[in-house]
Amino acid sequence: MTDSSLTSAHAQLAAEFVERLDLLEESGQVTNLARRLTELCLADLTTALNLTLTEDNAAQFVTHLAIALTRINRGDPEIVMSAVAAEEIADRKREHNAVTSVMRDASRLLQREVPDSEITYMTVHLCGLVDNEGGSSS
Amino acid sequence: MTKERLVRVVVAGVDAPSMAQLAMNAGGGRVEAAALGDMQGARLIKKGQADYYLGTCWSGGGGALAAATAILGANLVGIVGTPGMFVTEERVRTAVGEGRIAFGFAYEQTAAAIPIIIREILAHRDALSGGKDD
Repeated sequence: MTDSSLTSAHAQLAAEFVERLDLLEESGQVTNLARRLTELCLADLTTALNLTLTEDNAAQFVTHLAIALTRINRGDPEIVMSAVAAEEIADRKREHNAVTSVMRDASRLLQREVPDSEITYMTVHLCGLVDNEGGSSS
Repeated sequence: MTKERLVRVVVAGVDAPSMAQLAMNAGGGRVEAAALGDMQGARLIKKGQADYYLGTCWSGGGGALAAATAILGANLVGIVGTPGMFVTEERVRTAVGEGRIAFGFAYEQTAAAIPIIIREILAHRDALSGGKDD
């Protein structure tokens, strides 16, 4: 993966989800930092997992990611872990590792740890779109 | 005697088509439901082309109602279930009574939550129509 391919992916994703992210940011539900991090994380995940993310297949994931990053950015209380969600991703090491890696980078910019519960929810959303897309690389 | 208009419900989020079917089943012929994208569904409500919005996400803590909150305003939406807070009739009744029209909950509670929400919406509608007849 090159810097230019990441930059290109970032620009494409920012354009694809501009309406959604504008709506969330303008309504005060998402901070500007979380929005910018969402775009960067999406670029990292699409290149790492060879995904094509669009408003049709990834709207829920993008919204979840932006809201979750805002919770962390604002220092909100840790969200309660769902045993059902944790069970759902128990065998999804590839997606879990990808999210964990991206959140490691995000946590440095947020200057806060990303709780395991948040990583679990991000992963289960990501797995949902990977499964629906059916086009992820091995 | 006028025919009662169906309650129009839009559903968005995880496994929305199944949610829509659950809502119609729970409505006993008084509810029509459609699975839509969250922004599209909330805009239909805003335009008066749908009556209620149901949204799920895995955590129930934001994504389920984010678009509805942005489009409808925070005073019309309510989270009624998260993994740490189970959907109850009392909580839904309170939210419906406050005039909230968009409800969010955790996906894992879908099977229990939707019948409760639909029942409370219909009871609220019945109470309002009963009041008009007095």
